[in-house]
Amino acid sequence: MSLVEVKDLSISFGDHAVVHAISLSIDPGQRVGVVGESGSGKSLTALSIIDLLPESDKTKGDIVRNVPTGESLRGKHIGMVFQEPMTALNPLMKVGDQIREALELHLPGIDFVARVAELIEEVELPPSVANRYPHELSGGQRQRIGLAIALAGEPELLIADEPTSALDMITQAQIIALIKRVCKAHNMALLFISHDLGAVAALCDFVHVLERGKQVESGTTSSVLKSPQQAYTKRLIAAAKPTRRRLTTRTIGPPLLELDGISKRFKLPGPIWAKKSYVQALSDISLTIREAECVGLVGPSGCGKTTLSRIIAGLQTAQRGTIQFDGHAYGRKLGEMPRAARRELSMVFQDPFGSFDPRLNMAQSLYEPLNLMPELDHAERRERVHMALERVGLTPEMLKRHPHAFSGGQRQRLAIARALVLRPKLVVLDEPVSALDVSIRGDVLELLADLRENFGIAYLFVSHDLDVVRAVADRVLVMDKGKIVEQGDVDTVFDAPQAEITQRLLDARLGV
Amino acid sequence: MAEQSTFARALSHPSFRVGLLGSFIFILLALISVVWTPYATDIVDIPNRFGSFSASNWLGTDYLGRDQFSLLMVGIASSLKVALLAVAIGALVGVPLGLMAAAQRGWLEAIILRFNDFIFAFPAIISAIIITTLFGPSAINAMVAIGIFNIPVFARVARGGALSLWTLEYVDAAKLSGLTSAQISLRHILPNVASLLIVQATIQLSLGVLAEAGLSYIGLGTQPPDTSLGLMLKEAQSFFFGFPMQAIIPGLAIVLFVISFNLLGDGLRDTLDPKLTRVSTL
Repeated sequence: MSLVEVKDLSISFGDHAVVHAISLSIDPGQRVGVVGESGSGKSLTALSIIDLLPESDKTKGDIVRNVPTGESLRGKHIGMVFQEPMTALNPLMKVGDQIREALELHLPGIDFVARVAELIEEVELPPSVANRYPHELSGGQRQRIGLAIALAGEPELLIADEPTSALDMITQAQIIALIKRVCKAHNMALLFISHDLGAVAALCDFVHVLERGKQVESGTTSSVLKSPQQAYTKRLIAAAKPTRRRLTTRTIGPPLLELDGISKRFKLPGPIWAKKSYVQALSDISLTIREAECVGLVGPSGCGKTTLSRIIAGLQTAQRGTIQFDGHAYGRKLGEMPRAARRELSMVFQDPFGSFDPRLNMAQSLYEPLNLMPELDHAERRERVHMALERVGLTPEMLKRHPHAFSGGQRQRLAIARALVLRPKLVVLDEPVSALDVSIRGDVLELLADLRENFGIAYLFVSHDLDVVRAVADRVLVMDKGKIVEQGDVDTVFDAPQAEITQRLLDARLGV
Repeated sequence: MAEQSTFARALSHPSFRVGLLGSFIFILLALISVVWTPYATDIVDIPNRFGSFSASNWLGTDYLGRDQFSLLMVGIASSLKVALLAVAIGALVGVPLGLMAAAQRGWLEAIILRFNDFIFAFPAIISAIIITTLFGPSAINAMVAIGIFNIPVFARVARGGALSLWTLEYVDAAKLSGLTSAQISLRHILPNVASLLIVQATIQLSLGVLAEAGLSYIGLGTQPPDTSLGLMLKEAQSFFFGFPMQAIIPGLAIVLFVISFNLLGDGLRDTLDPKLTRVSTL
């Protein structure tokens, strides 16, 4: 007899249907995954099971929960782990007390102190964290506390809504292993919601694929992954394994960018009379990027890769070291980045929603970089913008629209178009696909590869996703704690990693 | 979801509707008084003083026999003028200061913030008294005194809004395009903090009306023969026990005036700042 059975569930807000006739069932101890992109209705399906849907909805269909009548559903029978561990915890309460609060609700009359310690041990944290506040813990530790709270009521079903998407790769792998172990130990069923096929494959025996509120495919994880029936599932699987593209007609040229001994440290805030303390963000970084070369930059979060890419782009300055770029030399002693160097370099940002001013139309945003080329006349500017748009597969009519009228994938194309307007020699790509849904990632990567082939643009590709880096980059730099710990040809580095961090990053990968 | 204009969304907000209607009536009365009032306000008619409500003088007459309704219209106009110009002074000086502080950070920001604290350290009414006693009581000086108080308010709002915008990626993109801090402030920051500033302006406007009334009441604002709501209150207080309506009418006008602008501001804030209203749907 199944624990929860959902039959033909439909949810709509006003006239807008978000979930169409979804059916799923969860048996005791079974781990079920729901995969879909943003807006596919996967979170709503989960919330309807735990009866947490927003009030303004209209729901049709049956949800049978195998729970004794009169007992509280949430916590005791169904536990939930949320996506953002910082906002899911009360910032003013010690985490031990938050676990205790859940215990008091569901299991009155037990030894709370001992049970809290047990739960903390269960999620593999040291006993001392019970007396800490959420802001004193790392994202991964907070997510473990979230899991401990969910476990407090000893539920038969655990719902995890994107529990790892706010975490870095290494922590993600640890949390997934932990959830798997805990579910097995308690014979607890799991409903795991994710956009990441790899995470679902690592954790679940059964998977439902959702596309725009419709259930397109269901089956055991291995059968769905091995022989997907629907085109959409096939696309998802293909996108999770990006195909490799190398230069065919073009060859890598002479060095374009050379960094020598770049260091940067940040002062930590503190009272003025105290001894100054610093964080060494980058220490003595030297690297080379050649013309038409794609260099990957990987590392765990906080390793300094964002600072490094911002220094290369000229958004921050280094405290030590020199930069040679396209015949210009600049740096701490040599002065600021010259304007002539700026026009040979541009950047594509991670968040396709934050990279455009919501109040300006696309024409205003796309013409903006031409501020660096005052010598161009109106017709030349127009030609450049239109050509950049054409290269990313969009049309000039779209220039009149504002950012909100575009999808995430279109915006990322527009961001690439904006980077191309200057016809730069180097583009810094800061996690250009990680905020995009898996199915459009492939298109954007393909576009970037075409642009490199056709125009000989060099890329610095910053990413936490090793599979993507392996597919696009010629060479890879691995960073850890502000230093480059390993570099070389992607295949050499990934097949025979030397540095410990490279090994750990590779182990944390969740393949499909 | 169908795109709705901000104004249409605001109109569905009940307090905004009430506030808009009230403010509209007050502004209309003020505008009409510039070209026409039922009676001239500078003609003394002693035999008819302290007249009660009648068909010819809707709200009666004051201690000099002047028509109360005409005085009220002119009073609203002068109160509004003082408050508007005070807001203009505050916004024109405060907003650039706030934007500069957010753009430059470092020592410039520290100076601007300390300057703000300095102004905030004095109770508003005390400094207004200092200014008006130094430069003589007049509507203009009251305006400047209230305006100085608006400077740090606008500077804070502008800086607070701007600081969060400076960390956004489109601002980075603008930096990469070689735009200077001043250009970025004008092109990207100001339009995006405009809604915050508009809300603040309506609130400061209602506070300005109140401050003007207070200053005029203690004789430091508008001077006779001109009139303002505060001055009407002051003149009526000697006769309060004999003729309470003399004070109640301008007093009520001040209350309604302030409430209207506050409701307008609240409604605008709820509409323009989605963080406060849009209860998360998921």
